[in-house]
Formats: sequence, structure tokens, C-alpha cells
Amino acid sequence: MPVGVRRVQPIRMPRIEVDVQALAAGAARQTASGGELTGAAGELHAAVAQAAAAVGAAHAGGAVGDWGGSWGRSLAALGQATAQTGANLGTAGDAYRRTDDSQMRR
Amino acid sequence: MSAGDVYGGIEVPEGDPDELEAAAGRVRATAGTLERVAGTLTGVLGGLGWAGPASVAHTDLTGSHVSMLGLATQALDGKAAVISDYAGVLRTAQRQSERAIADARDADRRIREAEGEIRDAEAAQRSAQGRIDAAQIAKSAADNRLAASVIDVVAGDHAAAAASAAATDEIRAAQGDLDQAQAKERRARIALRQAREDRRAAAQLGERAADDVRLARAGLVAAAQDVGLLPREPGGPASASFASAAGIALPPPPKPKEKEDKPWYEDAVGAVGDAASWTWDQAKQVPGGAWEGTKGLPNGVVFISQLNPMSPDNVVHPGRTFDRYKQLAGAGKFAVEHPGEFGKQVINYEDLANGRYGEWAGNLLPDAVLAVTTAGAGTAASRAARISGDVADAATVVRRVDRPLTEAGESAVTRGDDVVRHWTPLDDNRPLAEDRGGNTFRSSTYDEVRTTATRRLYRVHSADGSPLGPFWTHQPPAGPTQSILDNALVPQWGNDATHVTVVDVPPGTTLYEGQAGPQPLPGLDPADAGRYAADLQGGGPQVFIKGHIPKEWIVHP
Repeated sequence: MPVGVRRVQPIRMPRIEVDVQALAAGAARQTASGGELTGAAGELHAAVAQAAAAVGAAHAGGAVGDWGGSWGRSLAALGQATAQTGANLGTAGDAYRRTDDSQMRR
Repeated sequence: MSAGDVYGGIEVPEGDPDELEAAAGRVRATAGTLERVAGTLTGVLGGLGWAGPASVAHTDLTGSHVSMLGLATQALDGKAAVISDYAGVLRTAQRQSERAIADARDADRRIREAEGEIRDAEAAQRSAQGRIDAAQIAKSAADNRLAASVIDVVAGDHAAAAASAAATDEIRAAQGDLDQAQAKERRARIALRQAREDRRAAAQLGERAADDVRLARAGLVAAAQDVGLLPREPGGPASASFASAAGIALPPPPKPKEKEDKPWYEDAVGAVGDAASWTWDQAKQVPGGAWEGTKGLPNGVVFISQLNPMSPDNVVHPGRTFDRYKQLAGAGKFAVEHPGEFGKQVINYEDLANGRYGEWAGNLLPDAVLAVTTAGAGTAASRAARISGDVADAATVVRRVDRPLTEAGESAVTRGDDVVRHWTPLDDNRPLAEDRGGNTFRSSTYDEVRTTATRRLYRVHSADGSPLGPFWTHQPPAGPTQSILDNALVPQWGNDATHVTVVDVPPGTTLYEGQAGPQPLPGLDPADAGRYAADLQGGGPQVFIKGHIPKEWIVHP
């Protein structure tokens, strides 16, 4: 090959396969899971608060309560992230469906 | 009786074990929810029938959520086990405290009764003695009259003889009453002593229960705060939030020093200060978190991984997690209370100070990691294998978290001395043979103590007794009777505890400390033999010095 000449590799798009109905169903389940996690976060916070109140010493109970608070917030954040991911999945499914619909009309 | 009740210095620890168990159940249920959601998300990924760049991104993100849920599930199960274990400790301690209060009430009632009986018996003795004195005077007068008047015997009404005989009968009767009153007093005093011993035992039971709860609460706080509770620099401020939450009193702040360019530990190690700094820089990363960062290090990583709730052992045996948190809490307590010593442990100051540079360098990072994670206990343990017998100070103090000490051993720790080892009859190679001091301690159990400063000891003996024997006490004697009772000095031994020798024991001396054990007491009165014979209970703190005691230690006489 002459100097200064580069071989250019063709850009290959990965193959895309979509089952839009499965995406919609999955999105619903993932979003619902996020809601479950948010609920679990509240339950965890309440459960640890119950434990904190029953420890029998304000200072130690406070430490336990703080732990429950931080875990509850983390779990709630994870729930939101899961729900958001599910929403994104649903949006992707909608986009695929709209694309398919527009191609079919053509 | 309920939580918070107090009697005579014994308190039923506050807290509600049932509520804690219920809360632990809710935490476990939450863990179950997370596990189920993780399964749902995994199912979502498997059923999408989706391929492409966006699919990869979604799978990565959702997969990370599934991983986090898996870790959280196991962590919550571990925390639930900790809460449940704490509930168990609290429940047991509350029952013990309630029993201790009941025992204390009963003992106090018996003490009052015995004291009343002693007062009655003493009054009866005074009355009988008065009757004896009066009868003896009457008899003396009658006898004098009898001697002076032969007529009374020969031809009189025998009044003087009758008076003398009556006085003799009265003396005999009063003497009988006196003997009875004395016997009653002796029985009452034995009952009083037993009741006081039971009262002391009740107080100890209450104190042990309180200690168990204190340690368990510290473990609970450690579980909540994890290893972030330890100080972040040698000699630096301990974790005030941990100390506060665990109910540990922080030492008073040090006096402000003149500004120095170098931290104290660099001065201590001189030319190798940079390396010490480096060691600390490495070690202080550990509490921050990454378990993985300590892979490949011996021993220390074992402890760290044991604390990790994801450890397979903790998953299989979640109950052990609480014990490890309690150990960590003990380490944290030591770090709070002895920040300077903690710092020395971290940089392996002992090796440096003794010129053991090879050992120091060869074990630098493992020691530092161990010190940070166990606040000295781990370093001391590993170093003990390299340095004969010179077990470092921190470990001995921390050890009491794992193993109970005698009351005397606890006092030694409070005093600032080092408890080298707690010895029980189950141990091999005990330093005191049973017939050479060992069996003079209650349950043949004692603590081996090394003094860290000059300690004043007292020994009671009789006028012709030995002023320098093996048995001593830290407390000055309050009187012969108290010494005889506390130290179970059987009268037949001939030690009437009327003389005292005082010595000052230098730092570094080995003492064996524990509670004086009971000694069989022969019958107090021939008439009562076998009926009222009892043990002298002892129970006072006893110090045993093995070997020669130099006369230079004597302060008095």
C-alpha cells in the first residue's frame, strides 16, 4: 500500500431487532418495580425508625435511625432510577412503534 | 417490673425487645421485596427480545440495578440479624436485671432482719449480763452473811443460805440466756454476712447486665456506622459521632501545643518518618470502604471480610455479624479513649522504638491495615507472634470485649493497668498452681495484670505473722473484721489482721488479681458444730504476688 494511503474500514451499524409489544410490557413491569422499590424504601425507613425507637438509648437509637434514613433515601433513589429506566424503555418502544408505523404508511 | 425500673443502683435497661424483633422482621421483609424486584427486573431483561445499541445500554443499567439490589438484599438481611441479636441481648439483660432487683430486695430485707436480730440479741445479752452481775452481787452478799453467821445455819431460818442458792440459780439461768443470746447473735451475723454477699452478687448481676447492653448498643452503633467510626489520623480526633452514639465519654481535649512543622509520629520515628507517613496514608484509606482494596493482606483482611455483610460466612450465619460489630465497637471505643496509643499501633511504634526495623518494614502495611480495622488488637496479635511475650497494650484492653474479666481485672483496666490474660480452670499452663495460690481465688479464676505505674498494696497480718507474703489488696484495710470477712481469713490460720504492711509495687510488675474465694469455716461453737458451720465467703478483691518481694518496696512499717 502506498505511503500516506489509509485503508478505511466501513462503519457497520449493529443489527437492530425489536419486539415493541415486549418492550411495552417490560417497560410497564420495570416502572412498576421502581414503584415497588420506592414503597420498600418507605417501609424500610419506617421499620428502622421502629427499631430506633425501641433501642432504649437515645444516642444509639439516633445512630440507627440515621442509618435507616440514609438507606431509605438510597433505596428511594434506586427506585426512581429503576422507574426512570422503565420509562425510558417505554419511550424507546414508542419510538420504534412510531417508526414502524410511519414506514408502513409509506 | 418493667424497663427503666431502678432499685438500689440496679436498673432494668430501657428498650423494647418485641418491637425490635418486629422491626427486624420488617427489615427482612423489605429485603425479600428487593430480592423479588431483582428477579422481576432480571425477567424483564430476558423477555424483551430486543437487540441493538440502546438495548446494550438498557441491559447494562438495569443489570447494575439488579446487582445493587442483590447486595442490598444481603446487607439488609445482615442488619436485620444485628437488630434481632441486639433484641436478644436486651431481653436477656432485662430479665437478669429484674432478677437482680428481686434478689437485691430480698437481700436488703434479710439484711434489715438480721440487723434487727443482732440488735435484739445484743440487748438480750446486756440484760442477761446485768442479771448475772446483779445475782453475783446478791450471791456475794448472801455468802458473806452466811460466813458471818453460823447461827443462820445452825438455828436460824437459813435465809442467807437460801439467798445464796437463789442467786446461784439466777446466775445459771442468766448465763443460759446469755449463751442463747450470743448464739442468736452469731447466727444473725452469719445470716447478715450471707445477705450482704447476696446483695453484692445481685449488684454484680445487675452491672453485668448493664455492661452487656452497653456493649451491644455500641455494636449496634458500629453496625450502623461501619468502620467509618475509627479516627482518620494517628493521634487525631476520634470519631465523635461514634463516641456520642455509643455513649462513650470522650477524653478531655489535649492542651494546645506550640505549632509544629511535623506531626508527632514523624518526630517519634525520626529518619523513617516519611515511611510512617506513607504507611498511614495507605492505612487511612481502609476505613473509607473498599473491601477489595485489602485483598492479599494476611489476617487483617480476614477481619475486614468478616465484617462485610456480603461475606459468605455472614450470609450463612448472619448472627455472627453482630459479634464482629461488637468487636469493632470495642476497637472503636479503644480508639476513642486512647487516640495516642491507637496512633502508635498504626505505625507499629513498638517495633520502631525497639529498633526492630526489619520486622517493622516487613509488616508495615498489614500492620497498619490491622491497626485501623481493629484499633490495635490485630497488630498486637500478629506482633505477639514475632516478639516474645511482649503483647502490646491495646490488645489487652480490647480483649475484655471478647472475654469477661474478674471484677478485680475490670478495676485494673479502669486503673490503667494492663490485663495480660484472664485465667480460668479450663486453661492450660496456668501461672498459679491450684495448691499455690490458684484455688484461693473464687472459682479458681483470676486475671494476670501488669502494672503500668507504681501501685500501692496493703497486706494484713498478725503481730507474729509474715509481713511480706503473697496475698495483698489495693484497698487499705478498714479494720480486722472487714479484712477477715473480705479475704476469708479462717481464724484457725492465726491471722487476726491487726497489723498492716504497705508496699509500693513498681511499674511492670505482674500481679494476679481476682475475688477471694470462700474458705471452709469450722464450727464457731462446739455446741453449734455441724449446724452453723459455714464457709467464710470472701469476695473481696485479692492480689497475689508470685515470687520474691523486695524489702525496698516496703513503705510501712
